[in-house]
Amino acid sequence: MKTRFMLSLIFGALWFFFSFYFSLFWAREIACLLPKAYIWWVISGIALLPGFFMSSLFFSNLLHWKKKEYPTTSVPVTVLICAHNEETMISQSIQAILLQHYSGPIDLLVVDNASSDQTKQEIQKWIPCSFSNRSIRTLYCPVLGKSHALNTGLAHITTKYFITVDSDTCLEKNAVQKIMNHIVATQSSCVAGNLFVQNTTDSFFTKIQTYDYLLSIAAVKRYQGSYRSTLVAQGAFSAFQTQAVRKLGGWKPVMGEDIVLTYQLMQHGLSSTYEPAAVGYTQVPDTFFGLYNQRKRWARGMLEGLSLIPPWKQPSFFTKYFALVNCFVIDLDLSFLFGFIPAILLALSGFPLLAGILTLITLLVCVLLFYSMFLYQKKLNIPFKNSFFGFLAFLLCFQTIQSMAALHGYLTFFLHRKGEWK
Amino acid sequence: MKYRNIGFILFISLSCLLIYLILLFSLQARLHRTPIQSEIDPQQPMIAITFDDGPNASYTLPLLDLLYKEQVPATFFVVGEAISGNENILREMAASGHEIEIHSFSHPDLTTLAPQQIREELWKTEERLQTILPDYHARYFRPPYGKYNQQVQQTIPLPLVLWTLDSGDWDHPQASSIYDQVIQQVQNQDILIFHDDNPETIKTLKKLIPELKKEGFQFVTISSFLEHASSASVLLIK
Repeated sequence: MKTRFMLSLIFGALWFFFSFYFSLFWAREIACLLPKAYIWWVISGIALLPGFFMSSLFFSNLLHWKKKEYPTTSVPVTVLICAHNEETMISQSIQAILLQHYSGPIDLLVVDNASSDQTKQEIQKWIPCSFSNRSIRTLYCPVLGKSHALNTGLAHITTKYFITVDSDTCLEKNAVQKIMNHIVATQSSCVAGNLFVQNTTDSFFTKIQTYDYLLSIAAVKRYQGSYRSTLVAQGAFSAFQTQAVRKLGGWKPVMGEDIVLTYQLMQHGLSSTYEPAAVGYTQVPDTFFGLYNQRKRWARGMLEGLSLIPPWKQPSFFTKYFALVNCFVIDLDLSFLFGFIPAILLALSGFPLLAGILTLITLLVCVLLFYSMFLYQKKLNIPFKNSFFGFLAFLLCFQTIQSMAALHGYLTFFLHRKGEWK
Repeated sequence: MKYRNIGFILFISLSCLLIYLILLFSLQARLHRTPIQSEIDPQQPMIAITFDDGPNASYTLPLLDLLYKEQVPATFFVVGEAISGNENILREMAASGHEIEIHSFSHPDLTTLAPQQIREELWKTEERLQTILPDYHARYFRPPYGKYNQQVQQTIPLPLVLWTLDSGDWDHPQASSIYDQVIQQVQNQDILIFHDDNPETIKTLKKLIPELKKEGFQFVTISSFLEHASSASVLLIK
């Protein structure tokens, strides 16, 4: 494991030094036209660091191309769903759990988190559908907040393992089997599932998110998971060891409760992995502001995790490294907004100074990474919707929305502003 | 919440736009400078400052800043191979009112080349300059090392321009030595040769230009020089 990691770092470093050497000429050429510090900040933020991170990720994922298969398990498992005003989606999610091709018993625990719509009634409609190894229990948590709802559910879990599923996520029929096979065989404290977008065609914004989930998020999780250091076992679909989560006192009442929990688990020396074959289809925000608010929450959650457990407090070398990379993401977002966008505008005005050949080469690495990821996801034989327009729009627009929302999220964290669950 | 988001997005967008505009205006200011004005009085002493071997990414731009600040027009004999990557320097050079002439493509000793190779040294450079400055046409040529023979004269279809006073900066001495060398020997109607590939030249000129101005020298480009100076025929090989 360490050898492959070092090889991927060496590959990334080689790329870094190649691009650094190349950028020396580039920077020298424009040094008298623009402030030097600004030039180097932009070059490092839009070419050097992304190039390093992406090329090492790409190489590592190539080294881990072969998917691991684990023995089939049938240990009992609890699926925990927390819902707040999800009357339209909750039935689908429950149905998907009941129809799972899992060889063991599933105890479905649905927590209604102070819903004011018909969520409770929707949940209760499913209670008569329980059968021998698919039981349904419902709970009510009057305190609004996902962590409260999750902790209410945690107190009622009786199985060694449990899976969290968002109330707007539908699991693929083999998802529980795959994620359970993985957690039982590897004894990881948590395993993140692979999320695809369910409402791909709803709007322009769902189209672009399809590729974020399919290519970016999955690539990062695969990379981190290869070294048992997946930084986020997302609440939308992940499996956990009940005892490990209980020992930590459950979820903290923060914006990124799933991020903080994963960080805490790894801080205690436990491993966090990723199972690409366990797929859940999730509903993603279909409006600009829905997406914006979600990414703002994620950015804030990342900082919550990093501030509670800074990289140097992580015992594993791999986790330390990945958490440190997350620290750089802040700088990457800033340099994208205040470096790359002005650079593109300058290039469009006839001054291709900052957005030059090196930026194009970095984009090429990015496309290569995405293509390899696309092939990998395709290899899983789990259907997902795909459109060239969506991919193009994702390439052109997504990072701007993401970086802007993330910057907003970082600021709300630093200004200690109150966040919202939804 | 929504209004706060809109406010933040507007703030970030305006910040991006502001950064872009600041960068754009600073670039425009450089690349679209008002040309240096020089009215020549033929009765007053004049000199032409020339630079060989550029453009240079590190030194030509600070040199251009200095010349612009002092409002001194100059003539740059550029090397074709040095143009790539320094296109904006040439644009700024032309916009500032300096003259750009040709000093070969690869700086060879032209006396050792065949006629076809000599011609290539000229047209390859001119062609590169025309891709950056579409209206460009070379008017003068300075042979590398000042070396030429009959064959070079016959092959290059442009007047060859040499110099009368060598600053000696090609040997990279200290700025004070270059300054002494020039200030002790400079005379009316001299063509001075410098090289814009070293920092000592810039240091020298920072001190030299004000001193020459004090002594009453006017600064001219090669074409103005050849138009007004009486000794021009000595330096112009047709």
